[in-house]
Amino acid sequence: MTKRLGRNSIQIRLVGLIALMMAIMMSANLVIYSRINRMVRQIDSVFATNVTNKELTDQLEMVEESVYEYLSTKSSAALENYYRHTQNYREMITLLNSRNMDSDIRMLEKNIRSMSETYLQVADKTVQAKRGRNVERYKSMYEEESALFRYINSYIGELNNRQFALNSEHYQNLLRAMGRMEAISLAVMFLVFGLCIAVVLMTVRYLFRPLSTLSEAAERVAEGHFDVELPQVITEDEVGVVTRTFGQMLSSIRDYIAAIRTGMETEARLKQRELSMEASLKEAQLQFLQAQINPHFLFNSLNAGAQLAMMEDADQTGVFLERMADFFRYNVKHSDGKSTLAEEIESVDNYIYILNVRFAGDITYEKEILTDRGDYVMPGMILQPLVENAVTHGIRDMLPGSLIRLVAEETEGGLSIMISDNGAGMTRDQIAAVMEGKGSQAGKDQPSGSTGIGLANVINRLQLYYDRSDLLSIHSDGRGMGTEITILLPGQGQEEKRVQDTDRG
Amino acid sequence: MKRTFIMSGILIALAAILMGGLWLYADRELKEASLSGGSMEEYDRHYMLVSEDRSQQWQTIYASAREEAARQKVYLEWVGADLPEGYSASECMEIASAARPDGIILHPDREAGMTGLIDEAFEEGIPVVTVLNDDSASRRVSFIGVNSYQMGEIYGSRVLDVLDGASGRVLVLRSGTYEDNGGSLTYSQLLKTVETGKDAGQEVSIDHIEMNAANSFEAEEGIRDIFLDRNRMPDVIVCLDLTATECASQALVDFNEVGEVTVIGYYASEKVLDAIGKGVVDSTLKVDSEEIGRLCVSALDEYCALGNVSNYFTIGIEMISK
Repeated sequence: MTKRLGRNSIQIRLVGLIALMMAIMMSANLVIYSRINRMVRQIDSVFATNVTNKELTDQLEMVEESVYEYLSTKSSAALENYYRHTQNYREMITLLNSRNMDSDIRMLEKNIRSMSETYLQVADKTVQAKRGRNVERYKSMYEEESALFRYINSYIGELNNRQFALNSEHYQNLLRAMGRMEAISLAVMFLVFGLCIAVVLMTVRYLFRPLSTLSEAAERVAEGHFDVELPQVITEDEVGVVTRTFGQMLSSIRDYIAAIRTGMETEARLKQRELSMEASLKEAQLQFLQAQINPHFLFNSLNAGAQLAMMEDADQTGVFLERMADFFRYNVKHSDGKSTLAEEIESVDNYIYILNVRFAGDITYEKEILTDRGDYVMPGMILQPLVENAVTHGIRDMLPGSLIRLVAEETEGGLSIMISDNGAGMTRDQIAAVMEGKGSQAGKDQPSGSTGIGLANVINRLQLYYDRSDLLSIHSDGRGMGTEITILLPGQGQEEKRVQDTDRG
Repeated sequence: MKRTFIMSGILIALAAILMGGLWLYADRELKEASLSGGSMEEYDRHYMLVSEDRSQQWQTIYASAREEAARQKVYLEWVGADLPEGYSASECMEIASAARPDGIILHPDREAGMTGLIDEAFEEGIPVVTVLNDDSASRRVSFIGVNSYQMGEIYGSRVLDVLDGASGRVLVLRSGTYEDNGGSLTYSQLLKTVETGKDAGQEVSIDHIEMNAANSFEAEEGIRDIFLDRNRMPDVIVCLDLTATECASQALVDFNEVGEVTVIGYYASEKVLDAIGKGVVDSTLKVDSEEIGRLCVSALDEYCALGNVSNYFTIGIEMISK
């Protein structure tokens, strides 16, 4: 990871920061060490000039002694010593100042140098006079030379005194400067240290600020707040990678939760729909069952009656009873499930036959089946209640001459089944009330002789079955103008028909 | 991010400035400690002043000359002034010759051999100017001092003014440092002025004592001897140098002779002016010592620049009284 992040790595940057701080602190130490070391060396060399003066005096005395020795003994060793000491002394005085300067000490040096040069000239002349055996001359020269020796010694002494005083002052100044330097160095060291700490704090805070924000965001996520805002990824370091990855993870979690929620909502909706369907069906069944007295016993009895009528050659009665039995059997059989278009139409046929027997054939029933899709699967108990509704509310009061018409045809979206009557008709308000599930036609206050399944129940079941609310429409031109109910059965109706064997007999 | 980097940069720069400041501070401390020996300005020439006299007059002359010398980029030192050993003028002259300066300002004494030392220095290429006391026999390049004739005349006139026509005894205290005829010329001119200026019938007897003014003890003892012999007590004491003036005024006070003996002094030092104010000293001869100092340096400068200089520079003098 570090290798991949390269220079952006926090590790590399922290190491760089620490190295920089160490370099700064080391620089401060080096500066302090260098300056204090220079001061110490200067303090060490303060009295060096006094040492030099002592050496100068010693060398001058050696010259003087060698001259005296030579004058006394005229020995080669003395002469050799003289030349050697003279040479040494000559070299030493070259270190003294020779320029005119605004400094008493420097001018003392110049005087000593000039006087020494004169002294050496006189000494040389003295030695030469001695070698030339010019007694008078070398004696007078020696006196002159001795006087100069005395003068030079005095001047070197004076120089030494002045330099000692100056050096002592210099020494005190340096000691004071050293004391101040120590205090200021300490202060500078602390200040630099403080600045380094400030830089480290700022940089570390900058480096780890995204991490702090990320941890706060993680805490909020842990509390269940998945909508937290993550810090913006600025640098491609470890924190940047973690932040981005965390963001991706959070986004995935959010998507997953959303998917689960949608699934749950869909499932709940489906469950609710199923429950509603079941409830409506139960209601229809209940109403149907309430409307019959032991239908099994009834249609078994009807069958027994039909057989009896056949045995007695009462054919019409036999047919009637048989159709009655079929009608009730269908009701029992498909009251809680699906049926086919053909079975539904057959049920309507039976119902009309029964009514016509009951009302002496006053109801004209026209059936126009324009489709061969009798096996179209659809909810059961749909058409018969609609026909029953047309009879009950449409044509009951105008028998005979009444007409019930049933037309089934194929359309682009599926099948269209139209049930119409020429009865009482409906106003717009009545139609609206029925479509909204209100009014007497909605299934409440069923008149006697009804099978008990209202129009509202039919509408409800169609909506639940097909999940559409626009499948049933009612049309009437007003009072006395008849009513036309059209059902649109969408799709191909290919679902396998579930046949519930309701015939327990 | 940018702010963090800018702030860090500023703090690091601050640390660098602190270290730089510490470096410069340490250098300055070292430099200041090293400079305590004085500045290192280079001068063009080097003159030496040789005078055994350490009186206030010579202190003034030296201060004035040194100031003028510094102005002309010349280093001037008073030979032997700071040495623990007390060297004579001749010895100081030997030192000066051996040190080979660019010029010597000399106050010659009466010691034998001074002329030879001046000549030797001249032969070594060191010009010598004499001050106040001349050594006309030597090869000194110039003399700066007062006109002895004029000085004698002024003293003589003042003596006559003090005596105011009365007879009296006058004692002249001559400095023993005089080798040449400067002091003698002053004295003889004083005599001549009194002799020619005194009134008819006025008797003025003038005597003199020579003393070594360079030695304060000797001068002081000699003057006290005068006051101890009341028979020889003069009416007027004429002092031809500052030491004699100061010693005489002190003795006058000590022997309670103020008002009885009139002192005519030399040089307007603070002590002498104070004594004049108190009426102890009648008057004194004012010599412009600062001008002497300036002229010494100018004369040597002129000689170094041109190879010759005026042989004689006269300093203005005047008698001042209360």
